[in-house]
Amino acid sequence: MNIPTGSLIAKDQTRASFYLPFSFMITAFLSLFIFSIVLIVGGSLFSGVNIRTTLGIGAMHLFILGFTTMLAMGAVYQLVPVVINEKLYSIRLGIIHYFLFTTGSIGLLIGFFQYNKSVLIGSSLITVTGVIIFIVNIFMTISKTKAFNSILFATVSSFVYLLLTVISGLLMAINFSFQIIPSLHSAILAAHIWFGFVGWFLFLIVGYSFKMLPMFYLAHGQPINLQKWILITFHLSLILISMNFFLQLSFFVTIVGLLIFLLGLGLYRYHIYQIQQKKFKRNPGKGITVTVYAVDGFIVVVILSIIALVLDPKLFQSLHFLTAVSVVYLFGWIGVTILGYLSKIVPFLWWTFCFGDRVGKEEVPSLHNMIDENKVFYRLLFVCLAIVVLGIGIVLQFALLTLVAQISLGIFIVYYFIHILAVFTFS
Amino acid sequence: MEYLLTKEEVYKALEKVLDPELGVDVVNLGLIYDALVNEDHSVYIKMTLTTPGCPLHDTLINGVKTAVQSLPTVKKVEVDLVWEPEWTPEKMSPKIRDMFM
Repeated sequence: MNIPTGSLIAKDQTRASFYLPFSFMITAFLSLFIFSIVLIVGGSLFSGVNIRTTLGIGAMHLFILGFTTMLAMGAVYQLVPVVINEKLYSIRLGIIHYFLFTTGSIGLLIGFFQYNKSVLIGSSLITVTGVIIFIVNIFMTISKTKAFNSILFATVSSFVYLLLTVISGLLMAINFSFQIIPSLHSAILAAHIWFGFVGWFLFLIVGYSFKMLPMFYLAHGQPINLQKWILITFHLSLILISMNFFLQLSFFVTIVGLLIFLLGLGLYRYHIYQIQQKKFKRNPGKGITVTVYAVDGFIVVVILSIIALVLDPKLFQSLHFLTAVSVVYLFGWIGVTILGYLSKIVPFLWWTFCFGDRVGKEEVPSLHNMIDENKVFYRLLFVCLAIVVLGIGIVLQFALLTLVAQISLGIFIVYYFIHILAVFTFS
Repeated sequence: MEYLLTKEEVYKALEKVLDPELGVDVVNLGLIYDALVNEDHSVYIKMTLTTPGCPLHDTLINGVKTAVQSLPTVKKVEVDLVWEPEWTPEKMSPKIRDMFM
């Protein structure tokens, strides 16, 4: 039916704008599945120095590049045009980015598993090119809007750190192969991890939650002036800590940086409380409830880590301690947050794709019909439980406990994910 | 005399357009600010969304257009999306509000 357009300011949602985010998401799902299989059958990855083996480094990059980053990029393609009500600058550039990033990531994984330096450098170059295209595409999209807000500030901030992450990764591959500045290698490695783990993911998740949490809670009228301070605080912490990696000023600077980081997290949690105070929906979705628990859990972990570091500064050199904190942060906060958000994003995207055109013509299911919230909640709690046990196992160096938790985590992720994928049975 | 649609019929048709996240139609959500049926058989809808930059932006607006377009004699549908006055939960119908809380 030809529907006349009135004074409608909306842009038509074409199927092309669906395919791009979904290509990233499907690839991310596939990566997560392979990662889960590695957890289940790959043997001990987190005991002793195993994390620094090629399998350990490869598995972590599979999770970070293949799952979390792929998914985050897909989410950016989906949400940024929606937030500013403008079309993506170029879908074609998005497709080029997809192929470059996927090829680069697969190359990196092969490079890690085979420990082939040339493959690592070549793949890093492809990955960096893909990331630069992605950033340019989104910058050009954002530049169409005059209404720059804290969500876009967070997105731009995360891109700065994403770029720094891939560039430091490339530098590391080159430095490792040609020994240009061997003394800087551990500083670049630390910065690479810090920029990627914290800068890229944290800003994106926090910025997204500024938009998504009020929507899920149906909150209105919450104050937003704290948002910019949360982002500024995180920036300060990141700059201070990464600066200290290179300048080696003192351990005290790192502790101050971590305390500022904790302050940022505290402000962020308080802002979530402000949203909850203005909520109009009792239940924002069980997956989202778990992501808020994950923030609380993460704050507790940061407090305990800072106390442990102050009491015993040598822990800062301890691979067990750093691995445990990294695992809890990466799987426990970033992973659980993404998994929780997926329980809302996947049904929404699939609903839009299958039923969007049928709205107003016929009965269509609501999102609650497409996914069982209780199953989301309990299966995600199993995932959380496995992560906590894994963290404890690594810190206490209980090899068997660590291995059991690792295998359980793989099984629970698959178990959770089967429920998310069941959404695709609706059509 | 030529049949002219009533405002009530338009509102009734709009009750078919559901927000899938909330499971509530756009009328009971209080998103429809006005519906005018003109003598030239065009329909003017003034509506809002729960929040600017809502991911359901296109879907809901197209749904509103489709629902009204399906009514007899309608020749043109004009949807005016406004942000003033801002939507608040108080605009929901009371029975729906109670359902949420």
